[in-house]
Amino acid sequence: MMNCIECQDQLVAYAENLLNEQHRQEVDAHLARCMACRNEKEQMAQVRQWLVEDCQSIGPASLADRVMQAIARPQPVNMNRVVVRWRQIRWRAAAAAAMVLLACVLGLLLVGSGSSITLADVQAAIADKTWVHISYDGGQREVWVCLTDGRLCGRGEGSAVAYIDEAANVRRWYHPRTGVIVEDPPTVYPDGKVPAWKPLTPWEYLVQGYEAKMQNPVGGVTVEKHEDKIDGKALVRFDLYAKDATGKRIVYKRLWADPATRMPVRMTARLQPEERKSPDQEWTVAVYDFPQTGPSSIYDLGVPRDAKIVKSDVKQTKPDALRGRETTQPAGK
Amino acid sequence: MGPTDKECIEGCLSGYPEQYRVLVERYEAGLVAYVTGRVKDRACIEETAQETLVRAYFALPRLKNPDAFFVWMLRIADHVIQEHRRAQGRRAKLDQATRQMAQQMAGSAPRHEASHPLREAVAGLPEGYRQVVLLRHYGELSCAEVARRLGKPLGTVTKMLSRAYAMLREVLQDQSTVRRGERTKVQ
Repeated sequence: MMNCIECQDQLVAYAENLLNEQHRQEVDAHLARCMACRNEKEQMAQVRQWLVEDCQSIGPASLADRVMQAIARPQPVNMNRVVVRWRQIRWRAAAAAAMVLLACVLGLLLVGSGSSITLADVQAAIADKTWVHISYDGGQREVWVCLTDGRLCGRGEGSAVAYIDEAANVRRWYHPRTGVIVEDPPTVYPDGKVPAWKPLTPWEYLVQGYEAKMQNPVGGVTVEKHEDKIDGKALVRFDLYAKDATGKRIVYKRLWADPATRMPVRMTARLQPEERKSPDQEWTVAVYDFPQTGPSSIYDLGVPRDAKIVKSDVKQTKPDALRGRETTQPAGK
Repeated sequence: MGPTDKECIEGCLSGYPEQYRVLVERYEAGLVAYVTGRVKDRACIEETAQETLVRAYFALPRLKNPDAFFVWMLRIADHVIQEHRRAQGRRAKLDQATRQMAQQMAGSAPRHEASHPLREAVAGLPEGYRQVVLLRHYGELSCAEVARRLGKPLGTVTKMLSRAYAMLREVLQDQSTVRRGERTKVQ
């Protein structure tokens, strides 16, 4: 026999004719002998009526036109955020490019199996490379770095595009949502003069920092070499170990190099928790190649040629790249 | 019956923003009812609802389950309401005289505080019950359609609605008792 709680839980289904015949009879029988549930049913109908009347009072489609107008207008994009994100990508690109050469160095020193290849040979091997193309996470982000003049450009998440030419003191950003190219004002130097741009050599750009680190390991970073295979191809894998916050020794970067061509092909790096898009995304994957040419302007990255150029109010007092050079210059040079 | 939420969202993401109108028209009443229950300032209700719908549009690429559009949009509304409250808090810190002067200079009327006991009671329901009531009444969906949208069995939805009505009735009765009590005291 049905009790009051069971009966009251069924009252909506009862009122809306959603019960089967047997359940309906059970509710009828309970209501016939229970005054409390009959009262409940009446009060429930009253609440339902209030809700129906209230809904009618809101009226139809009053917001739709305004919302549709609002979404048709270009939305302001926080360009500072885009710029910050690109600065991060740029830093990573430099780090990844440096890893390329670290792999060469390690590969040749560790895999060389007796051959007397020196760092100078590696320098020679990459000297004719003009561009590094790095594709992250299956092409979600892409970065090109010109090794001869320091141009850096790429495509990030949400199809945001950046084109940075330090030599020309030009930095441009584009986001498809705004449809405009935002140009940072030229960097203002302390003495008011723009110094002549001297690009880093591939050697300086890619090897120098790691060369120093190999000779003087910092912070307990160690390297292990392993034989590995990807898609049936024999590669050498270098695991970089460091200690995490709990003191545990963990791999934080892996780099694969092709012993035949002596060039790196792939790198993975462990993501910090705040960089992960999902809890199980632990690594970011970068794939390298060395094309003969790269994008020559922001338009080569899919930006429409008729996009308007607007000046941003992001102020820079000194380019990051120069700051980086100063700190990586060896003492006494 | 028009296109499903999923079809509309896929349309928006494929470059047909007009499809969003269907979603706005389908859910605006539920959204306005919810916002009314949580925002007292009458002038801000439509503004908050509009801001929520615009933000939801631009966040569509991040919506994982298109069938959960309405529930997801209510969470965006919560964020917008919170931001609105923080802004109000900042405004409240302004000196009273400065505010009056600013209002006089701007020629704006003082803001009216609206009281809507029914919508406040709906907004105060536990989340699952609130969604069921908003979809059933303000979204004008059948119980079976609500069940499909929320991924719940029909029996669960009707049971939740029964309990939600009982909760609403209790809250509204309590409020009217308090009001009666206040009146008696004044007399």
